[in-house]
Amino acid sequence: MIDGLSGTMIVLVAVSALGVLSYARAAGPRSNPFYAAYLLLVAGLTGMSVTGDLFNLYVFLEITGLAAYVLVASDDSGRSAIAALRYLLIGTVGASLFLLGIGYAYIATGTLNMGDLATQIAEVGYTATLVQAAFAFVVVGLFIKVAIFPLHTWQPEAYASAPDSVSALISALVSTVSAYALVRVVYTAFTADFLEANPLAADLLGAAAAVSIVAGSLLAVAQSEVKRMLAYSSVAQFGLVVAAASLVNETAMIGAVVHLVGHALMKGSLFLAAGVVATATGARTVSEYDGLVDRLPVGAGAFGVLALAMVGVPPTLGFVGKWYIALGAVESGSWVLVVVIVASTLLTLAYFARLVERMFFRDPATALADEVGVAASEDEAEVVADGSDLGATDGVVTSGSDPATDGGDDAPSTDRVTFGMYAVVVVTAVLAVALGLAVFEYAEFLEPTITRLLTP
Amino acid sequence: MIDLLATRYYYLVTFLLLGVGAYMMIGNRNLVKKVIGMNIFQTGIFLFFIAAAYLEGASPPVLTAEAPHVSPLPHVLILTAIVVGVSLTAVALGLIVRIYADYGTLDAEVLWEVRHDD
Amino acid sequence: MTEIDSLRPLAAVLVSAVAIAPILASYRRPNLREGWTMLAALTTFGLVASMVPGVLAGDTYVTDFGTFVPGVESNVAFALRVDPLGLLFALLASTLWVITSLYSIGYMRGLNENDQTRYFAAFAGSVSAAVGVALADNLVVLFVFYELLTVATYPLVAHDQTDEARRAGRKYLAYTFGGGVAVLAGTLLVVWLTGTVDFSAGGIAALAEADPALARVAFALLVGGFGVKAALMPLHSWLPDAMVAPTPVSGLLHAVAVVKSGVFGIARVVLDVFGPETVGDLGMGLPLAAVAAFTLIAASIIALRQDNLKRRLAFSTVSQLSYIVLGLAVLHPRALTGGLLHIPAHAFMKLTLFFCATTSPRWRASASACPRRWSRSRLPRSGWRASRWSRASSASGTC
Repeated sequence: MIDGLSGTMIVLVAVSALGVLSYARAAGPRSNPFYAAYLLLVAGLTGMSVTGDLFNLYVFLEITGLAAYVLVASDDSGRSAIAALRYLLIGTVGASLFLLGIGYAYIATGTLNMGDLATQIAEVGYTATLVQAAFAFVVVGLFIKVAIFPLHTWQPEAYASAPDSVSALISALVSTVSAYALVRVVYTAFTADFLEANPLAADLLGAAAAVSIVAGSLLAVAQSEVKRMLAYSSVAQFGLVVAAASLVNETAMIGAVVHLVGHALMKGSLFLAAGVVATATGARTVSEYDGLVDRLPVGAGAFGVLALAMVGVPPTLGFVGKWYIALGAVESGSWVLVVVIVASTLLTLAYFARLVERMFFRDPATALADEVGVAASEDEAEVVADGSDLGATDGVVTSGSDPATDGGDDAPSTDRVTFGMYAVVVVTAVLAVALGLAVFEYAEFLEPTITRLLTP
Repeated sequence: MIDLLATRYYYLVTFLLLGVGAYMMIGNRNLVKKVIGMNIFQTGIFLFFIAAAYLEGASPPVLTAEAPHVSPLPHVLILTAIVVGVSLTAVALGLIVRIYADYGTLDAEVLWEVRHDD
Repeated sequence: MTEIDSLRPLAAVLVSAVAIAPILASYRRPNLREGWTMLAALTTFGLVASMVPGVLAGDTYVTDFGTFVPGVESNVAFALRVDPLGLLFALLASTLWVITSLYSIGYMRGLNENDQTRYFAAFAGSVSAAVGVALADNLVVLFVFYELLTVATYPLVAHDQTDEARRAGRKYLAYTFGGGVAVLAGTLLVVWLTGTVDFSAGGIAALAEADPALARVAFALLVGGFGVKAALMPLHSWLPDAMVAPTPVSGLLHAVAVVKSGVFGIARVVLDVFGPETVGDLGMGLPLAAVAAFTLIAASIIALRQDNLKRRLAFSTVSQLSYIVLGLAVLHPRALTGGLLHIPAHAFMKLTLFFCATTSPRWRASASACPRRWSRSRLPRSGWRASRWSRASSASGTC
């Protein structure tokens, strides 16, 4: 089933995957399992985007999940294996709850086709207990996949410990397409009438979203590792998307899609930028970003632009999405959400500003410079190619590194960022700003789809 | 209520399994047991589907058998779900092997502490 | 009165923004870099000045890019429009940029400042945003440039890279982005109440009929949001702290471009969004006037007690800005004229004062080695400029 919404997702998946691929070509991991899982992931995501059947959605959700678990662990470090297992356990619970919800829907209606479900559920009645239970399980299951607070616990560690290319790919796509699936199931299968008949359901969606925005941002402020910070930022940003989806409003829904796409582009390339920074300088924590602009002007610049876009400085993509969502919230008169959405700018600023300040307005710490200089090759092996074990320093370890999987040992200098890696980051940074001006045309293209989605 | 429980006891078992599985995943410190818990959790859901398809006195959904048949669709769905579950278990166990090779322990709390010392 | 479709408003905004690229690119060659700055400054000035005769003749220049984001009833266009009020502000900013650029070059080189390339790039960006604020055709576009102005001036505030400068920068960001959020909320409310955000002389008619309570809230949010940059008390405290920035920044931005963009925003809200009559009907004129009057007096009194010359000037700025706001809040045509005239008047005076203010510490720094009049602590060594002074003294050597 292809409409404007799923078409958007397919294009997004294809483009982001291509961008990450061109980055991963140089940055690794260069193993066969990585490319196999990468292809499987893209297949699963595309499947999730196009399917019109609830059970197929479940299968594709699990395929995506499987590929994502493998990808997270693809750098052969102990840390990422733990993160991947955690991700696997929680992700499976999410998918299983989703399956349970499907079960309820099937018992209630006898069908699993989304279009058919819409009519059948209307016949069964929107307030039937079975239908309500189905909705609850499906939504909670997908919340886990999207990583809405407090069901996000798998996400920061998975993003932070995965190789940079993988973090970018997963952060850009997996939660995004899951959020799309949430919108698709809620609006195509359950329809807007369900939300109208069960105002509590819509309210709870909105409340969860609001909590996610605030809590995600606050947690992001508390992080010292850059990639963890970016991960928590995703928790907050998806709160914004779900908030928009809970409003049953055309403008807000367009905003949700715009923000989904915008977040995917921006967050994906923020992770790539973090990867570039780590590759070139070894900096991975917030304090190591001190004076980054002197060491890596282009990387710091791109990171700064993307961070500002994420904050929602107009006229970037981040702002336009927020404008649509906020306008939709105003139109439907949910003032609490308006306040949270508008204030989310400040919350986002809180964690990005300190990073920007450190990058541009601090002199690099001398200790760090020494460390990077002296321990360059060791640092490199750990940071770039992920060939060495984080656990290697623990002494508990036997051996986990597999030299065949990547170029961990051909990394003599600290300056291995290729032109291609820069190009991806810079191009998306420019896109994040420039696309803001093109959103309206896209919104016009999307409007018929959204109208159909909201009026069953 | 008692009557309902007596006739629909398989739903009760379903949720019992879900509860046991969830508890094992949260309460157990051993990673392998967590994975077993995950499997039990999934099995609960499989049973839920199969129970939903069951019809009192109906025959298996085979063409040669007499009508009425039990609904075949959930069986097919669950067959797929079992395959998914098996592959998930495989990946999980693979990860566990790696974790054990790296850290020499499968105790979740110890691993968590090790992680924080990194 | 005719509308002329022209790319000149856009060019006036873009020239200095585009100039950022060559400025950054020629970071190795200061002469070339400053050449770009001067070229951009003169071009911007020329473009803005070229529209003066037309506007005086009653024409307006418009650049329209079509829809940017949707509103409720009508869509919000990304459009720039040159009307007399906007031209006044744009002309002011671009004229003074030429002068300030010259001063900056001498200042930055004379003090051997750090990160001069970033400084000139951010300066160009700030002027671009300021001109954008001046020429914005509706509230959303005004908001866009208002936020960009914040982003562009932040590097200038934190320029010194000392703890103090960073603290001032953080405070600046928190205050101004907080203001931006209020403006955004107010804008959304106006869109919702009226369906449009386009400026129209005398105010948006629909606002007069809208729910008065909500209209008041919208007014308070907008004026509060712009009031942050206009340094209305109690939202002023970023401004004295921001004086840690290099003097040309304090001069052009924190006496002219940034703070006046706040005042300008208030002017737009009072004149072109709500309209003086509606503001009067809503009873919002008096509270605004009260705040402005309080700020006027209180800031002057605080200024009396400041030992540091630049801080004193900053509080004087806070006070003087309130003259303009007061002029707007009185809602009388003559008061309006007076308030708006005070925009350029104060700009010229304060800019000159700032330029003089730094000459004296520099002079004093060299004088500190051989006691002269200034070393007798008319400007006591209050620490926060000490680093700059000592650097300056090393730059100028012993006397």
